[in-house]
This record gives sequence, C-alpha cells and structure tokens, in this order.
Amino acid sequence: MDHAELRREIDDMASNFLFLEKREIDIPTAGQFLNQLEAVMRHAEALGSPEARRLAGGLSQLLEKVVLESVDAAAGFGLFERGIVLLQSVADGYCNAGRYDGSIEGFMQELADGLGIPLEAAAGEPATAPPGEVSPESPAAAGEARVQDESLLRDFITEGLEYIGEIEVNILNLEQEPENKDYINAIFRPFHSVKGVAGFLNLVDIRTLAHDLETLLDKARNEALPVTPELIDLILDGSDTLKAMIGRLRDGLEGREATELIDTSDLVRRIRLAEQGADQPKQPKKLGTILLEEGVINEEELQAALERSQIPPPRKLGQTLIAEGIASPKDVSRALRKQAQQVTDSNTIRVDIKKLDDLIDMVGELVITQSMIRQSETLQSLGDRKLVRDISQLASITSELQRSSTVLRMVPIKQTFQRMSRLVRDLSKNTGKLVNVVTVGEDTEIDRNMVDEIYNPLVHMVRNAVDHGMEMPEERIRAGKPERGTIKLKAFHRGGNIVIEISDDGRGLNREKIREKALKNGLIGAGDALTDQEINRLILLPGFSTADKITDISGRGVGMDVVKQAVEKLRGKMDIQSVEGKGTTFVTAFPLTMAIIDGMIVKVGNERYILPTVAIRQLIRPDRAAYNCIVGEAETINVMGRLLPLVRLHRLFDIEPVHANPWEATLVVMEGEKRAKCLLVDKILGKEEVVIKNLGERLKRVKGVSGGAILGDGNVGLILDPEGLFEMAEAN
Amino acid sequence: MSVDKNLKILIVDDFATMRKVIRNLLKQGGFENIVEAEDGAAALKILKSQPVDFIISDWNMPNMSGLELLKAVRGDDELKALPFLMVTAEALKDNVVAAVKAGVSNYIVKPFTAEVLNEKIEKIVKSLAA
Repeated sequence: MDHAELRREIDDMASNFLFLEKREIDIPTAGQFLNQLEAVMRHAEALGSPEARRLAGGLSQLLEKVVLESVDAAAGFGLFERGIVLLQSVADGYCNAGRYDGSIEGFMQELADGLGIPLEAAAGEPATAPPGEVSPESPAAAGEARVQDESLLRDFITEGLEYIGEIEVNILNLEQEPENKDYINAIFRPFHSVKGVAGFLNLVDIRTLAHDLETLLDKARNEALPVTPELIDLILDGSDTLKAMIGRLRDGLEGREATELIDTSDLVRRIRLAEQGADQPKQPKKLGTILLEEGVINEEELQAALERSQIPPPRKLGQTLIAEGIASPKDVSRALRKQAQQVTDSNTIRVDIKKLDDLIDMVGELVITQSMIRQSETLQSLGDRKLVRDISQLASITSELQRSSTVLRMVPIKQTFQRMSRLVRDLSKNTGKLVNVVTVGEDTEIDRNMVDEIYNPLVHMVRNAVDHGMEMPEERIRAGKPERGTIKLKAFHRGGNIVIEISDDGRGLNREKIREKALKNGLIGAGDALTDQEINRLILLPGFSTADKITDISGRGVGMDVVKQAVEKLRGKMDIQSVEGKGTTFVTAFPLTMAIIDGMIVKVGNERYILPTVAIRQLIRPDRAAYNCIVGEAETINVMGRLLPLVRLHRLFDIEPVHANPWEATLVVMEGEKRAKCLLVDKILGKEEVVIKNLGERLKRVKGVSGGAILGDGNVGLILDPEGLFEMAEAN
Repeated sequence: MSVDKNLKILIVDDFATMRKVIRNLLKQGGFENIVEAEDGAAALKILKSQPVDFIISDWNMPNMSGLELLKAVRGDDELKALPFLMVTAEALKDNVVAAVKAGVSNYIVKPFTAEVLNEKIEKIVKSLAA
C-alpha cells in the first residue's frame, strides 16, 4: 500500500457517493462506506497520514450518527459530501508532495460543533466511539405498542415462566464457573426476551425490572462487574420477583383474586447499588450505605444525620446515629465490621480453580521427588552431614508447602448453606409449611472440590426434613409448638472432618412405625431387641420409606439409603438422632478434602498397601479353629459367630507372602457397600494420613486400586479400594 | 408504488411469543405469507430449502445470533441480496454499527408498532427496486 493506492481507495468512495440515486445515505450504503472508511483509517495510519486518518475517523462517526438517526439526514449528507472532497485533496497532497499543506481543522471543528462529536486531538487515538445506548426509544413508541391480545398474553406467561425457570439452572453453573461467558449469556437471554415481549404487551413493570437485570448482567458480561455470590443472589431474587409478577398476571387473567401488588423498590435499590459497585469497585462502602442496605435507616435519616455530624464538634456518623437513637449500637457495630471486611476483601484475588488444582498437583509431585532424593542410597552413602541436614530442611519446607497449598483450595461452606436455605424457602412455599432457616458455622471451610460432591446428599436430607419432619402449621399449634418451624444448618470441624448437622424441630421419627415397617419388610426379626439408635438407623436401609404418600418433594421412594451410599462414597459417615415430637437431626461427617485419606498401612510380602480407615471394621488374629475351608468352596473365617469370606491379598496381587496361614497372619475385616470380608495381610504397620495421588489415565482402570500415596518414610504405597478388591475376589 | 403483500417473510426469534407478536404486526400491515425459525441455524436451513423474500431477525439468540446469521446470509452467493431487517432491544450503538457494517438492510428497535415496521419494510423493498 502506498499513497497512490490510498488515493484510489478514497476516489472509489467518492465515485460511489457521486452515483447515489438520492441525496440520502441509506443503511446498506452507510455500511459500505463504514467498511471503506475503516480501511482508509487503517491504511492512512500505516502510511503516516494523520489528516486522512482523522478525517476518515470523523466521517465514520458522522455515518454512525446518521445510521442511528441522531443527526439530521440532510445536514449529515452535506457534511459527508464536503468531507469526502477534503479527504480526496488530503490524499492528493500526500500522493504528490508527501504532505498536505492545507488544514482540516476547520472542517473537523464543524463536525464537532454540528454533531456533538468531540474533536479528536491531532495526536489522539483512532476514533472509537464510547459504547452505550445512543437513542433510547421514545416513550411514545412504547405507549403506542398496543398488541393487547389475550392469547398473546397467555403465550407470554407460559413461555416467560419457562424461560425464567432456565435461569436458575444456569445460575448454578455460573456459581461454579463465574468466568464462563456462556453461562452469563444463557442467563442474560431470558431476561432479554421477556423484556422484549413485555415492551410490546405494555407490561411496564415487568419490562423495567427485566431491563434492569439485563443491564446488570451486561456489565458482568463485559467484566465491569465481578460475578460475586451477592450478584448471583440478586439475580435469583430478581428472577423470583419476575416470576411472581408474571404469576400475578396469570391470576388476573384467570379471574382469580388479585394478590398484593409486588413491590420492587427494594430490589431496584439493590440493583442500583450493585451497579454503582461496578463504577467504583475499589471504594469500600460507606457506613451509611451499609446501614441503608441493611434497612436499618432510610435515606432521609441518613442525610439528616450526615448533616448533623458536620456541626462542630464533628462526630462520626455512627456516633450521631447512636446518640440520636436512630440506630442501635449493635446495628452500627455490625455495619462497621462489615465495612472492615470489605477492606480485607480487596486484599483477596480470584484465581481460576484449574490453576489452583495444577499448583496442588505440582506440589504433590514435588513431595514425591524430594522424598525420592532423600531415600537415595547414593546420597546416603556420601556421608555428607551438611547435605543430609539441607535435605531434611528441604523435606520440612516441602511438607509445609503442601499443607498451605491444600488450604488454598478451602472455601467456607456458606454458599452451600445459602443454596440450601433457598431450597427450604421454596419447599415450604410449595407445601404450605412455615419454616425458618438458621445457619451456624457458615465460615467452616471445606475443599472446593468437595463442595459440589456433598451438595446432593445434603439437599436430599433437607428435603426430607421439610417433607417428612416438619408438620403443617395447624398440627404444630395443636402440639403446642410455635406455628413456624425451624431448620438448623450447622457446620463445624471435628478431627479431619467437617461435620454438617441438619436439624428440624418437627415431629421426630416414629419409632413404632419404623419398627412395624421394618418387621413387615423383613429387615428385622420379631424378637430382635433394638436400641432407639438402631431403630433410627433402619431408615437408612435400602427399600425403606415411611412416607404415607409419595410427594414431589422427596421423590418417589428414593430413600435415605441412597443418601447414605452417596455419603459413604465420599468417605463420609452419617447418623440420625431423633426425639419423638421434638425433632430430628441428621449428622453427617465428611473428610475436609478428597486429597487426603486416613489410612491403615499394611504389609504383604515386601509390598505396602494403604487401606482406607473408614472401611475397616476390626483387626483380628484368628485361632486355627476359626478358619474353615471346604473343598471347592471359598475359605471363610468365623468372626464373632459370623462366617466371613477370606480374601488373600497376596493371591490377588501375586505376591509371595510371609504368612500363608490365616492363624499366623493378621486379618482386616473390611466393609464394602453391602458385605464384609476378611483381608489376609502379613502385618499392620500403622495408621497415617496420606495424600492421595492419582495414578493417571493409564492405571485408572486397574481394579482394586483407587490411588497411590507417599508414605511417611518416603516409600510409595497403593491405596486399595475395598469394593474393587471384593469384586476381584469374587471373580476368582 | 406499494409493496407486494405476498412477500414471503422469515421471522427469526428464539422466543415464540415474540415471533407471534411480529407475525401479528405483519398481519396488520397485510403481510400473511410468513415462515418462522427459532434461531439463526434453523433460519439458514429454511433459507436453503425454500425461497424467502425478506428476513426479520432478532439479535440475541442461542446457537446462532442474528449477526452471525446476517454474516452467513451475506456470505452466501445465493442469499446475499436478501433484504435483512434486524430487530434490536435498544439502539445499542455498537450493535447497530456492527450490523450495518455486516450489510444489514435496516434495523428496528423494540418495541415498535405495525406502522413503523411497515415503513421499514417499504423503505428496504423500494430502495432495492430503485
């Protein structure tokens, strides 16, 4: 490209312009010109012709205004014509003399004045117009849009509700991957569609709210607003309100009594606040704003108090509010704490979970490598004391590094609790029960990778509590309890576990009924003496359900046994406490992370294996008499009166054992999903918390082994999977 | 001259109610020969299988957006001359300019009346006839 070519390009445009039919630039023509001007700008920039570039930029802006009808078409046409001519002479100048002797400033000024286009500085950036809404539609257009057709309204209600329903699904995805633009788009679209049709149907309130929510999401999409749990809550509340508004429309259409008008002012205020957050993300919120948000004070009170705080001697806003009795000291101190928290919040950064996983994996590799170095015989034979000291220093640093990197992935259980609270709210609405949710220990931390895993079993327990545990309001009053029931979600750490309790103050388990049912289903015998605790646990058995009728909420007979299995799959434990008439508590304990396992280390021949402690029932050294072997049948061991199959680990893995006779070896009684077996090993070496290492794709499908781990002495051991071992034994 | 009311118009929008709204508005203007598609991809299929005279498409759709559809139409030798009216929610400048550069025939801002829609269609068709 040289100046002659640039001139030809501009001449092309000029002749296109000359041959226009009418003195009018229609949209397709404007499109062509815009593309041509863009090329001219690019080439002028490359060739070093600032005048041509600025002129082309100015003309582009002019055309954009013509397209958007924000400038008079005839005036725009005249200006464009003169601009093209000027552009030609600039190109001529550069072509012939390598410079332009005239000035374009007069014309640029005219463009700026006439069109409100800011004059681009001579050395400025290429003209890019600020994005934004240029011509908001006229209110008249909205008013005229009368398509008030009942069947359309019905379609809108059905389709609108369906679309908004999709938002909830996608928002859960977004919660897990806040960076994913596809999810934001998927949430954006329903609001957008609802808004569009609401505009035609003259549903001003719905249209306005949908528009506000859409704007908020647009900011999130353009990264002007971070996707925080608060934003997600706001969007969920927004979609709930929209749903309610559309529901109200349906009620009206069906001639049902109109429900209370829906007040969106609170929601709108929160949306505005969230949007402001977009504009000044660094600023911690002012105390007054926090109190406003919490609804402690109103706008007028705040303004008045602010003014009075200025009167000498000046006092802090909080002091004024307390002194005048507008806010309680408790409210103010809570708001102050919240403010302090924001400051610390700005000291945190968001990191993609994938990066964190990679880091933790690499640290795992580091631990392995350093332990290999430490174990190296060559190294030990050197007898260099300093080297030995340095290496042991390296070991302690690495293990510290591993500990702190595992902590990185820990997140508070708060979000899970919020989702569960929401679920309770929805469920209680559907069933007509009145339920409060109380949460305790929301800040208890758990591995990010566990959060999703534990959610489903917890949801099932919450559903159970609302559906089966909670009584209807009338029944509660008859029982002398408060009309409104309470479900408490509590989390705390105990040992290496996170304990989550879900308690309700409902009717409690009816042990008589459970007993009867268990008897009928043959789960227990008529003469069995069971403790209360044992009876409670009966509901965890497969095929047990005491619900008199099947409801939507707890599903069709999907019982607590499924929940128990899910919990155990995560190496968790589960228990039930219940007092009849007072309530029920489900207690679940999960390991804090799937990355660490509590293991028993056993030795077979020269090999070491790790058995997950949760699956071990007991360790025994049997008598000679406890061993039974019938020819052609499996070997069994009599364990406290029950015959359990014997599994010879050395045979499964083809190892030469030290002890082949069960009465000389040690037996580990292990529990699988539905059965127990005795595992024959040579020796128990001890108990240890080990870090699980994936064995990689290639070894993933090896039966009986669920992973590998580095033992405390630096050796590698395989972690065994009881269920897989049992299957192997049964196949032999 | 007046526009041929037998023009076969393709409405593209993912929201069925919106398609119905536009269909109703078109009927008010005397246009009855209408086909519908729920996104850009479905629209392309229709365009390949039957003759269509005019496209009215929403901007924001899953699978294939209105802009992508426009680019696909303009990039197809058989379809590139088809009139294409883009429906946008706001006159968002960046959106409009992008559509104009991609060769849109005109754009219309929601909500609109039957008169405005008619006007836009006439304007496009007449400029093509000229």
